[in-house]
Amino acid sequence: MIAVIGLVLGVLAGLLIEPTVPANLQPYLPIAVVAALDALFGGLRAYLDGIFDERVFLTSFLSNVVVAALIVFLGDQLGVGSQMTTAVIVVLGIRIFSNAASIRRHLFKA
Amino acid sequence: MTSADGPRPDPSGTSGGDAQPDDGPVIDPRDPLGLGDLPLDPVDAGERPTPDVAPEATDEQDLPVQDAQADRPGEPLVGDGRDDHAQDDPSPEDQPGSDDSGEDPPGDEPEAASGADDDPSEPAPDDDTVAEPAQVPSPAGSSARPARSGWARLGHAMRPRTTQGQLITAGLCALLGFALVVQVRQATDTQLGALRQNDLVRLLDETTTRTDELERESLDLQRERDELLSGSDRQQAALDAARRTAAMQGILTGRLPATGPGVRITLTEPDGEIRPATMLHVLEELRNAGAEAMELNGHRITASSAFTGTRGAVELDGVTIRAPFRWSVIGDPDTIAPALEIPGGALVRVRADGGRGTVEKSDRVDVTAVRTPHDPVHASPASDEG
Repeated sequence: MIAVIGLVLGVLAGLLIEPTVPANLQPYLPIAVVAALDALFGGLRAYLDGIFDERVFLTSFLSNVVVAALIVFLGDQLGVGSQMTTAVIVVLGIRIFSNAASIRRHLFKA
Repeated sequence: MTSADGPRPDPSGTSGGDAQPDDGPVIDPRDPLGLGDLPLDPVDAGERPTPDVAPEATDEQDLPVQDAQADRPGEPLVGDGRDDHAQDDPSPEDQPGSDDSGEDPPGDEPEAASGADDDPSEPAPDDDTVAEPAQVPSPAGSSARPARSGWARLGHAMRPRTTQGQLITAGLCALLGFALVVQVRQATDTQLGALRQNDLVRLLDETTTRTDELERESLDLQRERDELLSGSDRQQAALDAARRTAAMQGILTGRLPATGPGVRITLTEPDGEIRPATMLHVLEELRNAGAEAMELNGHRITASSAFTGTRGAVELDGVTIRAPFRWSVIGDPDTIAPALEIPGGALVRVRADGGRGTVEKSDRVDVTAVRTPHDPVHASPASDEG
């Protein structure tokens, strides 16, 4: 509940503040968002599995974001930034899908 | 969970009474219900084989571990209820071993882990360890349990609690929502702004290259257009020149009708007959005076025209013409008229032949007769200059 409230608060804050992302961070923000989404789905799935732990959630959330951004940053330095972005997005998308499927099995028994 | 736990003591009694009505007579001291059934079925009990009854009685009375396992099928409800209860409040000290979001356990694993969690949390050691293997092989029970607890867990999660974990999760979710909105806003705001420097450079290169190509193509096309225009100009000029030449030569060769200022000459023969030589003289006089197109009695006179025949039967190009001879001459009237009248000139010759001649100037003389020139058989243009 508090998590949902936090999500709503974050959205509202983003809408109200309208911050401008620094140019250096602009390529990494979408990656970080997708990684955080992946962590969020993983956390929900773990919660439904009964093995949720906020410490693991916090760690995986932050490390997912940082690692994803780092991978893309490294790709940028190597000159394969866009390809690396695609790769990270694909992997995270697959994970999000599998987590969503697990959540669905939990909730809808199918 | 507590309701699931609640019936645990009951089934042992009720199931024993329902499943084994025959046991009644044997288990006298335990169940009052069995005692109640006893008087109803004494005859059946006597007919039923006793071996069924005997092991049950031993099960109920003494509880060895092996027998307890055999007895479990009557009690899986208890195991399920305990599992749910155990999974509702997970023991945090077990979690770090298995990454929740980082790894995707293959379905059975979390249940096994939760089963392992049960042991420390549950006080009854024997029942759980034994009940767990009995539960895993039965798919129906395991599938029904998380389905029921999925929504229950969701509702549980929705319950407002201010624990540290909830606060941390809320903070992370707020961060995610914030970043999400920022990114969405930015993605919709600026398309180019989100691109990397390399991509921008590549885009710029592509654009520049494309611009160069287009400019080059534009120049080519413009040049081609200019060429076509000047070509058409030249062609038009050549065409005009050819047309003028054709007109001029058509007039000179008698191929085209002509009109313009000139004189009309009428020669009559009141006192004699004009000789062909006289006619030729008149013609030459006209040519000398600059006549450009001439017609005599409906016959066009060209460079190859010739007067033949005899006196009184003059032939022009083989056609006999008779008086009066009417000339239509296009040329400068003020030059031709005096030229014919000069002493010793053409008209004087005509009078000498016994004829009469009148010259009439006109601003518009039409030479309508035409001749079809023959193509030269022997002569051909000497060079390209022609």
